[in-house]
Amino acid sequence: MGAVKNMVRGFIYTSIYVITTIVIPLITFSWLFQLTVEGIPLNFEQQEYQSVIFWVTAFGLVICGCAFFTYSSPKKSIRRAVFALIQILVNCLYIWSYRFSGATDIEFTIVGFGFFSLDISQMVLVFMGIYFFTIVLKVYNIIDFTINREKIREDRMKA
Amino acid sequence: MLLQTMGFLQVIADIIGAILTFLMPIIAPIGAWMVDWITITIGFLQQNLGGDLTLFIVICVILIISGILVNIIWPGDRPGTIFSKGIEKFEDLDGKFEKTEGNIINSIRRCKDCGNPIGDAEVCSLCGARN
Repeated sequence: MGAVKNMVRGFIYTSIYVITTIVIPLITFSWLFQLTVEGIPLNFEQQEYQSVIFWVTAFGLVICGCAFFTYSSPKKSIRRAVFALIQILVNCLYIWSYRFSGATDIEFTIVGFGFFSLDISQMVLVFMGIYFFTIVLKVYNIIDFTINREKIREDRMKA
Repeated sequence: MLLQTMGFLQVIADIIGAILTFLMPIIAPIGAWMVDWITITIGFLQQNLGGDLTLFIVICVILIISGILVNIIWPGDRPGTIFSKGIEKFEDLDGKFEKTEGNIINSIRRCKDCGNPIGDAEVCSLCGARN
């Protein structure tokens, strides 16, 4: 029964990650690509649109796989902690792929009016610094679950 | 109302800004280090795996299938299925032996006076009572 429950939980979280890491970004980028303001199309100057889509999908897929493994594992298990760490690391690559692909510095040109740009690279930098602490926390979890393995297992068997 | 909301947002922005400014000397070098290794990794991936999603799809499928298999074998709420099956069999056998043993002991005729097992004998060999 525990296995089925774990897998259902894993599939639910995988669905959430598929939506948030693949579907929503793809829809957003497609929408931005076809965006018009008062009938005037915006020239999406980002030439590496395909690259953004590729890396978002690629890392999104790996994140979804890791999310399934993480959330289908028993709570406080070592394998959950290990895959949570891997997921976080891939998440870093995923977030950075936006910047690497130029998506954090987008310039829109409205024909006949001018252009405006959106630069969120500094925000991503700060976010990366804070994200490091999440990595530290995940490493701590692995150590904690490894040291207290027997106790955690006993508690789980009792429950 | 809108102006009040804007004012509230400004306060939040100021607080977040102050926290980030305070943490900047710590966060900035860490963020730079993070950026370094991430840039190197993504550069490597772009050079070697750029343009082909197959590998990523395979990784995703492998992770999901292995997750399912690992969960079937080690669900976490009891010892793993493969290993626990053997233990369960032994436990079942133990139960059967206990039951059989109990039945045999109960079925032996005993002396009414002293309780000594007498089997088919009419006279108890221990106390000499007739049964």
